[in-house]
Amino acid sequence: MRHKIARLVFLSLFIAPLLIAQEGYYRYQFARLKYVQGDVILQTAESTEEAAEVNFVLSEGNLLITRDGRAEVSFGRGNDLRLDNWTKVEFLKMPKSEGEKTSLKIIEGSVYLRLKNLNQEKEYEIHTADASFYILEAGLYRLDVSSLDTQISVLEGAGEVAGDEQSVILERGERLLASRGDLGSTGRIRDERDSFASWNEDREAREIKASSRYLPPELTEYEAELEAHGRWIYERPWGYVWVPIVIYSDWRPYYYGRWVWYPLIGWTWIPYEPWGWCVFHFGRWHWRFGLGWYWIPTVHWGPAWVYWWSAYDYYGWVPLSYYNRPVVIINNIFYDRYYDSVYPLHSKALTVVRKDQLMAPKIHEVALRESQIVSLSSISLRAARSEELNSLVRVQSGRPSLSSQSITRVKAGSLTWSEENRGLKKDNVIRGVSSSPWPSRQPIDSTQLRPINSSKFSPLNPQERNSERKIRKDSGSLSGVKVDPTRAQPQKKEREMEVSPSSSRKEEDNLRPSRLSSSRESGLASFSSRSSPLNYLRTKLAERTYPSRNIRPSPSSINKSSDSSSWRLPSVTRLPSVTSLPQSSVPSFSSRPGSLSPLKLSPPSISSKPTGSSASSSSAGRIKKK
Amino acid sequence: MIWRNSIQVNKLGLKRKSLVKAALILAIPIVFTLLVVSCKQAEKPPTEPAAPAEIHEFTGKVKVAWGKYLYLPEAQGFDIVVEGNLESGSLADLVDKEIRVKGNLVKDEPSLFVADSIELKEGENQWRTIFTRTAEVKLTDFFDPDERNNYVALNITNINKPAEWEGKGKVKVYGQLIQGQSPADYRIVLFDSKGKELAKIIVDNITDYALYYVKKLRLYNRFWFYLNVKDTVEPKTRIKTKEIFRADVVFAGLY
Repeated sequence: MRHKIARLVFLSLFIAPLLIAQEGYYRYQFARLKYVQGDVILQTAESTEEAAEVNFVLSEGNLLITRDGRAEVSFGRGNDLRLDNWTKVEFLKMPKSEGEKTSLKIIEGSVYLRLKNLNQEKEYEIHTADASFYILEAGLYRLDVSSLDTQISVLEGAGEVAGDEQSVILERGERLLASRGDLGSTGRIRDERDSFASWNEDREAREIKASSRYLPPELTEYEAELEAHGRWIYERPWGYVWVPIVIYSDWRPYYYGRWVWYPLIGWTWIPYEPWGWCVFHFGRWHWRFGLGWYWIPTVHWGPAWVYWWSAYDYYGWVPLSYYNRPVVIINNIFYDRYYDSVYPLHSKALTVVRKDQLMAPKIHEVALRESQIVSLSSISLRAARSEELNSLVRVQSGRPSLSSQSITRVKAGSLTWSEENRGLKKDNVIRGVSSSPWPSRQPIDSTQLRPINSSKFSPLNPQERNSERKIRKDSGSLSGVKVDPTRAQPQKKEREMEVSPSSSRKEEDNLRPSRLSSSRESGLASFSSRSSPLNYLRTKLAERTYPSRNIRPSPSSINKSSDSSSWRLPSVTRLPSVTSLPQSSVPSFSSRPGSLSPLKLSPPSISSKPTGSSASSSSAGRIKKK
Repeated sequence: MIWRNSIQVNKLGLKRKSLVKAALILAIPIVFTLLVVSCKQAEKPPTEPAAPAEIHEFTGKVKVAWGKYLYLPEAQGFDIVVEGNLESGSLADLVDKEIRVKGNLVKDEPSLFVADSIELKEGENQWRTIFTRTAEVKLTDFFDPDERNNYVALNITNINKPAEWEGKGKVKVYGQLIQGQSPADYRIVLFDSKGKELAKIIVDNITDYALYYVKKLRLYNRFWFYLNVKDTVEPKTRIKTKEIFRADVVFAGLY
């Protein structure tokens, strides 16, 4: 008994911090393409263009282009960006941790920015060729950018427009016209409604105020869409779980959709179910006879919570259970903790494709059917290695667009990978992150940004901001406020700082876990190696330390959980989430948590010889039936 | 008589009851044991399929046909091998035509489906048999995916550094296949990091399976080519044409 206690204490003291440190992605680092109508193009940092689809992930460096179409992007927390026809928006910067900013550049066209929740002033900043606009309050904003000027309208809230020599605060109902850094005088918004305004109103009306009955507060915004496409039931020991309404008999999680490679994330599942964003990037899927697949909400974002398998010329994947183990369904029995090194081919949770079809636009069309999978009886599906999975990346970046053949790639060459890959160490081979710290596709046009000199308005601390704003208010002078030139930073410098690994690491220290046994999830979600004994200890620790999750819909419990989310972790080093990759494939970085910087990671060496799976045998055969 | 009979009946009944009791007493531990055993078995999912169902038939439109290989999107995850000649015409004639293939998987190469018979759709519910397999399947040009491990990625930095490819034997390169007028004109173009043409490899031979894959993955223009390196091109010619060595292509794929 004493030994057990001592072991538990040891684990808690030494292992738990490591587990917590391996938290995954910052969930607001990636935006969701929430709505697409007509011709909308997504240009990624690798210079590939693709017809945008709902649930596409938008990350730093992406360019969203609408032609004869409209789009809506969700940043989370009810903050949305709506694009009119013929609009180009570049996502200059996305927050990598709490407190960081979202920076957008409107190259042309019109946008509405609906912000419902702001953590701080100037959390969102929008740059155009004519001015920079810093959002001060939650509200509704419109920007119309033409080749000559930019009109900024504040329908609700308040914001600060920065030009060459001055900045102006715009308040509700005010608008301002800026041209190449020159700010015009403010005026009242005219009561003119165009089709974009009507469409925006239509989208606004669809935003149902979601009640947080079943979902944790962090996911409240998805409550309405889940409500519409499924039902909530109470399932022990998880609490309320969501059961989708599906019409396909072969439906299973991570089946109707496609895999897309994102340099900052890795292989990411793009679900075709319109409600798929929440349930395939958060939470875990379980199954029960008589109920079918059901989703257990958790709050950590991941590109896809699956476990990868590989054999011969095939890749397979299965959803991860709440215990971050691959699930198995055989003879209508669900196993939520599968530990064997070889995955049973006749599990109904399994999806298998030929390796060269992993990037197929419709996975369900190329995936082997159940009878076909079973026919592959001579092969043994073993945990796939990340190097192997990522070796397809180069090909993907070099392929022509599947969805829009007419679109030509901006940069023809994609062989840079090979050069970059050669010097890679195995430790870096997690999920293939561009070695370039800043997306190389389209450097910021300094000539466009220079007249604005937006960098003059470098972020102040909240107190300074408040006091400065108060002075402006008190003085009654909204326009022509001079900004302290000592705060000015050259744009280039600012960008350099943004991409500095050390600075980003510092900022990442402030990662905050979310509620709902977040620490449990973060710990389990990032096993370093299946073969490592540490892995076993982690599992044990997690199983002992954290009891089953139990969400109750009562407001009191929600509030309680919400409060619990306000604590901060000491010295958290952000590591790329590995849960989308087979755990066996993840190098053991727990011993050197500081050695990985997401900005410095590069795709794995494609020249490395696949050496087969390194599945664990230590834990083989340990299965717990649910 | 009636009474006695009834006694006999009762006696028999009693005997039956006692037999049932005994059977029950014996059965309970047996059932219990069976339950325990079955529960224990249920805890671990069987790793081997109970009865592997064989695939017998695929129906669909042929997308690609080259050599003796067919690509039928309906045969998800498999390449169809047609060993032998069709009754009339060639395999390439089947492209864009609806066929019904019956056959089986190759046990050792599970991605291959050997066609035993092919029927061509000629009308509503009308199928004409155009192929019946009579010969054994010979996988002479097939490239086993596991073989990939034996090929080392070649790192060509300069056409004047023959040491980078000489004596390497089995290698793989990432490039684009340029198909000339005849197979003798086939070249693999390699690019540098900036996307500029770096070198060319003269393709002496290319397998049908490799060409089938290039055609099958028609949305892609660059592949990994698995080569057997042969002679180095003369330095003078090398500088002039950028052709660095000759090679046999055994496979082309996305990884």
